Parts: sequence; structure tokens; C-alpha cells
Amino acid sequence: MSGDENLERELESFLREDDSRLAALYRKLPRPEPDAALDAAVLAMARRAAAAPAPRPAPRRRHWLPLLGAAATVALAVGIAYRLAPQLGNQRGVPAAGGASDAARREEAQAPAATTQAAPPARPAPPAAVTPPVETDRRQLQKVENAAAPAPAPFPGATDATAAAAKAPAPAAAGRVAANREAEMKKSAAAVSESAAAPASMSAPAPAAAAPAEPALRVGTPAGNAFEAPKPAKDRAQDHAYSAAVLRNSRLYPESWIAEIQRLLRAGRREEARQNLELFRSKYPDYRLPEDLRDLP
Amino acid sequence: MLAYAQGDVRAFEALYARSRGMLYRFILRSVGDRASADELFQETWSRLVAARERYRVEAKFTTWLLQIAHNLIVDTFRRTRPQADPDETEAVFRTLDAPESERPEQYLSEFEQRRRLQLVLDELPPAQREAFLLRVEGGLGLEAIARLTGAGQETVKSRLRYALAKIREKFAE
Repeated sequence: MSGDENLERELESFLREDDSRLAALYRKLPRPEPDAALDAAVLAMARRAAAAPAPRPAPRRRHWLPLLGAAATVALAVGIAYRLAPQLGNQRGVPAAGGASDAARREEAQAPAATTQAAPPARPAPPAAVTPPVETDRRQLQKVENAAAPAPAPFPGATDATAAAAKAPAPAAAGRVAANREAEMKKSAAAVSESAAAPASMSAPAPAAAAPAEPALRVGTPAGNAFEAPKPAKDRAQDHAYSAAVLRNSRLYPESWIAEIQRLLRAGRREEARQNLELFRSKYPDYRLPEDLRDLP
Repeated sequence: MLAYAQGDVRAFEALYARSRGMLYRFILRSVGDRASADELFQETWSRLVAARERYRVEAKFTTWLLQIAHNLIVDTFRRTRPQADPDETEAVFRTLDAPESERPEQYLSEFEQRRRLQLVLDELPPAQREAFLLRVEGGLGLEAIARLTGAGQETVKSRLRYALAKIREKFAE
């Protein structure tokens, strides 16, 4: 039997038996133990520890907290972007939501047809870069006039700017400012009035604010209808009752509209003429109609 | 240990009485001098007390205690690896020697065997000595030794094989 085999057998015995020959020999070695002072120190330490509150295990790191924070940040950013998107859209010329802009959009949709009739030959819509100053001036003018005193709504067909401005019982200072602004408006509005379809789409101030501003705008603009104040709800409801052709005609100058109605009558399109006249009367109740139209029901 | 974790000091005293000798000898024969052994012995119990809330029933208490001691010993070796020359070994032997009153003359041959065993244990590489001590002092099996020391079972078995071979060699002189 080789030495290696004996060693392996001894190893197996050493691992298997608790009291192998080698283990038995080991147990005969001196068996030193801690002295009494060491025992006392350890036991005293254990008693102190037991008397004191048990140390709390270190709190587990919550790995989900950073993830939750990141998700909340993303949600917040998306929410802010969602809120700001309409405002940014407005700054870029997108109409704001609301009743006034709804009316403007409706008018805008009808504008091309009106343009073809009001200002032949038709021109392409003016570039957006041209129209904003008019809109801005108009709003500023409204602010000035509102700050003074609201002028009564002028006669729709009025064409004299000075007379309209004189009607407004505004203070002198505000009147002067308004007059200056009016002169500027005449220049800028004249530049764009011939292709007034787009300006029509931009006349969307709040009704209450628009009324005092109308005189200067209306008289200073050849295509005064293009700058009409938004129609009251009643009128808008009325519009829905008329055909698109009638509504297109309502954008004409009153005189042109009357001429169109007369043409319809001559063409035998009596019902269409009657609808036009009905809408005309509702828009211009004080307009003096030609004799041939006065009797039309 | 669970009872002590709930504040029962008597439970700790019972555990201490049962394990103090085994632990002390394991540490003393691992590090070789009483001063270091005393320090490590106290530190081991201190660590155990501090970690009493983390004790789990599935872990054998002796294994857990020896694991703490093993880690402290390894740290000690890393800081200052003991270089025992023959004189130091003899000094340790004298320290560990039994009182004269416990050594009757008729046991001299056995005393020589124990002396040689003590010498060879001191000469063993730390890893082999530790594996031997964990087996004969701690009563741990191959698997437990492997888990405690972080080595594979075959590695532990090899260490024990080398240790036994050196012991046999020492006894054959």
C-alpha cells in the first residue's frame, strides 16, 4: 500500500470521523481558554448592548426612487410643454381658441370668395408679414380708446373718419392719440386693404373691446367690412340660416350689395334676392333702400 | 442568538460559555500569540453582538461565529503577516503548554507527539492551518469550510491533504 493511499485514507477518516486519530491527538494538545478578565469584558459588552436599544439595520436603498423621480420629471416636462404649446402657437400666428377666433376662422373660410367680388381682379392673399402691423396697430388703438371712453358704435355705413372720431366723447388727449393712430392706420390699412381677405380673418378681438375701435378702422379702410367687429351671437346664428352666396354678398359694400340684389331681381332670382335683402336689412337697418327694393318682402 | 437579539442576556451567556474555548483556540492557533488572540477574540464577540439583528436561524451559530473570526484573522494577516521563526514558535509552544501539574512523566511520549503537532501547525501555511483548525476545532465539514473561507471544496480538500502530509512528515522524523 503506497503512502499516497494511506494519506487519502487518513484524509477521508479525518473528514468523516469526528474522532479520527489525528483529531484525537489534537484534542490532547493544551486547551487554552480566554482568561477571566477577557470573559468579563465580553459579557459586560454584551449586557450593555442588550440594555441599549438594538441598532437599527441600515435602511435599504430604495432603487425605485430615482426611477420614480425621473418619471415624475418627464411627466412634468410633458405637462408644461402641453400647456405652453398653444401659447407658442399664438406667438407664431396661430389663432387662439375661443369664440372670437371661431368667428374669425369662419370669416377666413369665406374670405376668398369675398375677395373675388370685392376687389376684382383677385389677388393672392397678402403675405403674413404685411398684415401683422395692421393687427397690432388696431389692437393698440383699441387699448387707447378703451382707456379713454368707449365711443358709441357708429353708423355702419359711415365713411367719414373725422366725423366718426368726433362722435366719440373721449377726452382730448385720448382723442389726439386716437387721431394720430388713425392716420397711421390709414396708411397701413390702405396698403393691405385691396387684398383684404386675410385682414378679415384677423379681425377677432373680443366684441366688447372691438366696438369702440371700429370707427377709426372702418372709415380708414376702403374695405371697411373686412375689419368689422365680430358679429353678435344672434347675427352669427342668423348667418347660418343663409346660403353661402348670401353670406358672401354680405361682405360687399352696402352699395355693391344693393346692386347685386337688384341684379338678382332682374335675373328672376327673387327668393335669393329676398334673402339678401333680409340680411341686408338686419345688418344695415338704417340704410335707405332704393325704391324698387323697399316693397320687396 | 435569537433570544439574545430580543434582549435576553442569559441566552448570550449560555452561547458564550459553549463557544468561548473553541473560538479562542481557533484564533490563538491561527494568529500565534495571546495578545493578538485576546484582541481578536473580543472583537469577534463585539462584531457578533453588533450584528445580532442580522442573525438568521438557518445559519449555524458556530459557523457564523467562526466566519466573523476568520474575517478578522484574514484582515490581521493582511496588515502584518506573522513571520514565525523557530524561537517564536517555541515561545508559543511554551505559552500553550499545559501546566506542569497536568504533565505526568508517564505521558512524555504523548507530550512529544503533541509538541510535534503544535510545531507543525505553526509551520503550516495559514490557509492549510485554518482549514485544519476549522475541521478539528470548529467541527466543520468540507462544505462548511469551503463556504466559510470562500474557497472551492476541492481546494479545501487539497489544503487538508497537504496539511496531513506535513504532519505525517513531522511525526516520521
